Amino acid sequence: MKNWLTSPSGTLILAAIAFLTFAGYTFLSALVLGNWNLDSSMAAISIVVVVILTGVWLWALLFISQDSKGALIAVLILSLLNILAGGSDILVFCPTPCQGYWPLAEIWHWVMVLTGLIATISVGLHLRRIASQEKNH
Amino acid sequence: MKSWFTSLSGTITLSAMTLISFVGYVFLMSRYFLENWIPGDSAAMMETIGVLLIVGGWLRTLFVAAGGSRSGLIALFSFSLFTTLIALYDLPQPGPWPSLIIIVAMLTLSIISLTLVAFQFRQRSAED
Repeated sequence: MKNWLTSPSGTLILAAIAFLTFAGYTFLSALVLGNWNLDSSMAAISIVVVVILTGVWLWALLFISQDSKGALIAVLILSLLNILAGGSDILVFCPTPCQGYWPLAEIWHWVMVLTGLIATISVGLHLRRIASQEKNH
Repeated sequence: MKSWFTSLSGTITLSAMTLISFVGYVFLMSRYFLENWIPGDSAAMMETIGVLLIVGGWLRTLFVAAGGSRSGLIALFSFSLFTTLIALYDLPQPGPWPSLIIIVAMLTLSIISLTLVAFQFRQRSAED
């Protein structure tokens, strides 16, 4: 199990799941933002942020299978962002049990934390394995 | 430059950019329209599942196509065609700013992706 978790394919699958959770989270966030009646400039800023984050996620996912250290570090940071976003919703913005889009939002916040955590552990172990391999060479 | 565009990695990169523009489009549409058209918790759940299926399927297709699979390229072509049709449908009534920008970007990237995937098919047919 631990071997699969730290293998390139395991890391890739777990990172892809974390990315899909992020995509669902941005969709749900957009539904919530739609109720806030924010102006167009805020919509433009939020879309730029979403597009940049999605771009970095995709770039990292496409290069992670080649054991690219930069891609692995990017996934590590993005997975930590997942934990931060989900955790801040659970604790501050929509404290559990979150009544907005019940039960989807509540489930999603926990899924964000969980998938982010698993991806972080997997990428962290993978990076450690690469570092030890480099040390042995 | 031309050889990069017509290479497999160029095709995959452009398709990934189309996917990014689709995520941006979905973000804007859910913000401006979906909540007003079909309000409610269960509608939000179904829409989220739908978006995840499309994005997940597209992501898997990118990996499969990157391995040189013909079926992966066919799926990439289908996804690009899908976003082209959505963008063409929305172009006459884009909605509030910045919707027009994201629709035009999605349309442009989708058409480029379609062209590049078609070029990949032609190259493979010539090789066969």
